[in-house]
Amino acid sequence: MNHSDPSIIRLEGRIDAYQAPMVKSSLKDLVAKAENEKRSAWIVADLSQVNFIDSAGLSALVVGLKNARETGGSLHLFGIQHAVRIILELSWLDKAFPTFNSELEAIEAATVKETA
Amino acid sequence: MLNKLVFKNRSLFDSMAQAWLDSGAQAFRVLTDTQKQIASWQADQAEQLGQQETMSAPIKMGGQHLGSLDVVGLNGQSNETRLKEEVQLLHKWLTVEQEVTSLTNELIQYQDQLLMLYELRQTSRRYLEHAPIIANYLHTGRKLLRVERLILIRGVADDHQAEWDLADLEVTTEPAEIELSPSRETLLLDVHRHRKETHIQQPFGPPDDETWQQIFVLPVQGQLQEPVTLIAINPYQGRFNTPTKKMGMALADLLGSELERLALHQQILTQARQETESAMARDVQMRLLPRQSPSIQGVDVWGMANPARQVGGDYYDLIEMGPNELFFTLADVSGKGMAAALSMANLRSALRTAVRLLPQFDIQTVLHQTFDSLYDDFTDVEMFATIFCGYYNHLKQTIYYSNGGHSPVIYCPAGQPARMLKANGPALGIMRDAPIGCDEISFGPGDLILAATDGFNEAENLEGEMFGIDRLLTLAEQLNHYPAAMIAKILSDEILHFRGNQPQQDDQTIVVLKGVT
Repeated sequence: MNHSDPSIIRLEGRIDAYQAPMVKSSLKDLVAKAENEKRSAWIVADLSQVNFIDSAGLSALVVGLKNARETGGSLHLFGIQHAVRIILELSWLDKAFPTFNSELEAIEAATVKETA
Repeated sequence: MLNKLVFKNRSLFDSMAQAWLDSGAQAFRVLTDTQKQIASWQADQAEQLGQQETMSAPIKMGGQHLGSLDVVGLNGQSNETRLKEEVQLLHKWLTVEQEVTSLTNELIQYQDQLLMLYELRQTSRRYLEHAPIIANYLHTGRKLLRVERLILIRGVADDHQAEWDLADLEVTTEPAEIELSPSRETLLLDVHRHRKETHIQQPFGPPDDETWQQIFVLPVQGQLQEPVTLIAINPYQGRFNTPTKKMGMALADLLGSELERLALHQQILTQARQETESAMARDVQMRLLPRQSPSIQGVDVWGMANPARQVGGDYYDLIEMGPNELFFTLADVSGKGMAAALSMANLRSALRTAVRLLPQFDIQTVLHQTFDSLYDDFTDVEMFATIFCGYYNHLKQTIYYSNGGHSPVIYCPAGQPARMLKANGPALGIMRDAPIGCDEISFGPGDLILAATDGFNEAENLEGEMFGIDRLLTLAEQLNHYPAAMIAKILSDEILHFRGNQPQQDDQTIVVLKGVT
């Protein structure tokens, strides 16, 4: 696999049933792009501006995570607000996703893994 | 014709004859063109007629010799003039008579056409499919318009995809095979695409084709799924006159309304079929849920499901493991409608199989086994299911639970604040060989477990505000002195009240366990 910087996707507002399809397709596009370039899909999602996420939103992120993992990559989350963290914890997803406190850490983790 | 005139107007001829006899004539006769006598009047003391002088005036009509008027026993210029005048009078009579006959015939023909149109409409109403209706219109239409051929074209004419029905072919449900020269086909498709009433004389000159003298194009109007055009070819009378064109337009209008009726009927039929199917699917799905609450020592249990559509992805189950033990589960398959319902049925059978067949029952293994058997199926269709499983043991006054990513599950011990039971494993479909934990809580009289699907906490009101988990926690504390069924009912009513006129977006399912003595 070639080295390259992870893709960053910045989400904001409410990730609910209306937003979720867009998030899902954006993540799919990033994975497809990586696959076309014959590299693993390392994606970093910025959730610092997301104040709410519902079951449809969680489902979109999980599909993104699964697809990224299939290419040998992953989906890192950072900037998780308190309300969103509670929802992730309630559904055990805080353990499924690699989560980070800052953008730098999330990117570093993705980049280190890529070059390792 | 002359015969008929004499017969119908006998008294007039009588008086005409009498006037001649009074003037000294020996006889007055009406003869056919072959000198056969139609009628004859003689003077009372008539002498031998054969030797008498006879005046004869021919009766002609449009150049045709019909017969003659003969007067026997008189002559002279004045008599001849008188006879000629009477013949001219007869001519006028005959002309009027002929006009009346022709008008009567036209009227009869017109009435026949109206009757045919009426019958066409009546018989077509018996059919509920395109093919017999079109065949009926083409066969009757050809007689009505008195044309050699009547063609119907339907479909989009681009790329020559339109279908043809020809009046002079056998009635068939398949599109008729057309035998048209390329130039004819091009012309017909062009006029079909054009969609305007058009009268074309001599559409083809030599050397291509001279057998099509005239065509009349009638686009069929109406709310139709595809464009339809009637094309009448070669009228028997040699030309398309105004009445025939009007009749053609009436025929096309009638066909348009008939096809509209058919489309509407089929739409209603399809809708009714879909509604019946989804009502059946709902029935089947409802049968997959427990029909009554099991009776277990120390616990009052109640479950209910309310899908947002006819069917949904929510599932709950209550299985009696013995007089003191209860297995209960609540799951939410992502997505809605039929796809979610199918996965829900799949999930139910996997869970039930695990519960029934495990040699040593424990809920952690039940969930592991279910996850293992369904992971690939769910992953293939990008589906997930959050599952909460609980096992109540009365003798131990304990509930053991494994929670695969499900929320909200609320635990409210008697007299204490309500709290959420967090997931101790991921939802089904997130990762293979997922680690799933098992936790326990004490459960005695007055304690409450309330497991719901997100249709409760994510219910929205008209302002877009969600019901939320905090409201559910508060209600759990307020309601825990009620029986389980009542708590479920009050919670559902609260959600309904909160939503106001906002329609239910998601399935709502709830399982309530209330500790009793």
